[in-house]
Amino acid sequence: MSLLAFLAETAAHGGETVKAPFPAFDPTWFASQLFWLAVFFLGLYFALARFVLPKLSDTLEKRANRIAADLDEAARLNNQSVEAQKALELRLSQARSRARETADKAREKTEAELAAETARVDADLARKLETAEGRISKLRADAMKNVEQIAVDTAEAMTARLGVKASKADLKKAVKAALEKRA
Amino acid sequence: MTLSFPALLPNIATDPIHQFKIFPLLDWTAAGYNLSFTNSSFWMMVSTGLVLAFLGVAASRGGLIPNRIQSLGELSYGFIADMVRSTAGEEGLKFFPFVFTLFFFILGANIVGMFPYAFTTTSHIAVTGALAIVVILIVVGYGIYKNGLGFFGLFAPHGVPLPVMFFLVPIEIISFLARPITLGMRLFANMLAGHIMLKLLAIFVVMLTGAGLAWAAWVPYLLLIPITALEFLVAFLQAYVFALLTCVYLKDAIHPHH
Repeated sequence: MSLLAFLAETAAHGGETVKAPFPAFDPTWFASQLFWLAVFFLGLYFALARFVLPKLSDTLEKRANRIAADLDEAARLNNQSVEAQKALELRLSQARSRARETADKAREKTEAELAAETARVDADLARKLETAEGRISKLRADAMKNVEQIAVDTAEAMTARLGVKASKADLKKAVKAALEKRA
Repeated sequence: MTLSFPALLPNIATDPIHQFKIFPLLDWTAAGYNLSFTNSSFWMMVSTGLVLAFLGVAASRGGLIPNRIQSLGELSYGFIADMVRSTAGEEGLKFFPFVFTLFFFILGANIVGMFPYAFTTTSHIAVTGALAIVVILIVVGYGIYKNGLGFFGLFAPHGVPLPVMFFLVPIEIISFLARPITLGMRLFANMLAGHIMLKLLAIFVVMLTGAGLAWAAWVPYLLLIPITALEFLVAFLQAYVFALLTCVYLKDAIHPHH
């Protein structure tokens, strides 16, 4: 302060300021300063507190509410889309399993039919084969019987020619033995 | 009772103190007090008027999507509200309009004072001291209203042994009493010193040029530019510090037991 006073005094020029106190501490104007400070400060305070600040806070609050509402709406729509997606996936998987079931059923049915047809044809073939085999064996037996008869007749004729008398029963037995030996 | 506006443009002499001088524009004595409308009152009117105009325009629009000035007003609102909330707590928001007014009153006065020929109302101890005393009276008043005698627990921190109390309590009381003085002095001294420094550098420029040393006048001239920028920063910073300390003191009134 002494430095400031010194500055004030050294810098002052002309008679008017030589004896005056440093202006920042001059009590002459204290009352005026305090009075007008009170007037303007209180005026500013009431104008701000009554009108300006409530309006500002109202605007900020409205904006915050609007943003919150918009976010809520967005979340709601998002949930909706997620649910729709889930439903879609569920129906897709249902359809897929149904399709698989149908395909399985169709395949099983076809396989069963195929097996039945195969069995039927096999049985038929077996039956035909059996008949054919029976006929063949019968034919063969018949043929063998004829061969025996021919052999007996031939043997009779040969023995007759040789002058040997042989009974028919012996001849038959001999032919049979020869045939059995060959077989 | 004549309004002498030419007096608002004083002869800027080579006197760094001249800018702090108060002179009446409109003489008025009431109840024995000299309540003249002075140059200080005039510039206080200008700064509060500008602040009110800015905030009024910013607030009146009220658009969902703010334009620049509205955005600036809302930023100011948020800035001060956050400061009050983080320093003095939710309950401190009761004093939000007061802190907001304090900040903008001081900021307006400081910034207006930065313009040539303008008067810096916050460079006078009567103004800053009165504001500081009002802050402390509100702190003490609300502290006692809210906590009763418990408010004086502020001077006796918890968990301190009794012998230490004998030293600590007087120290706490002195530090509390120093608050209005430091609060008012800080703002006043910053504004006063800043303006003297600017004025002295400007005077150097003029004097050196006048003495035919124009080449040397470049030194204070170039120094003047960053210091002017610094003074704008100080103008904001001191308003902020005043408002912030007000919040800190209000916290003591709300919760006196630390």
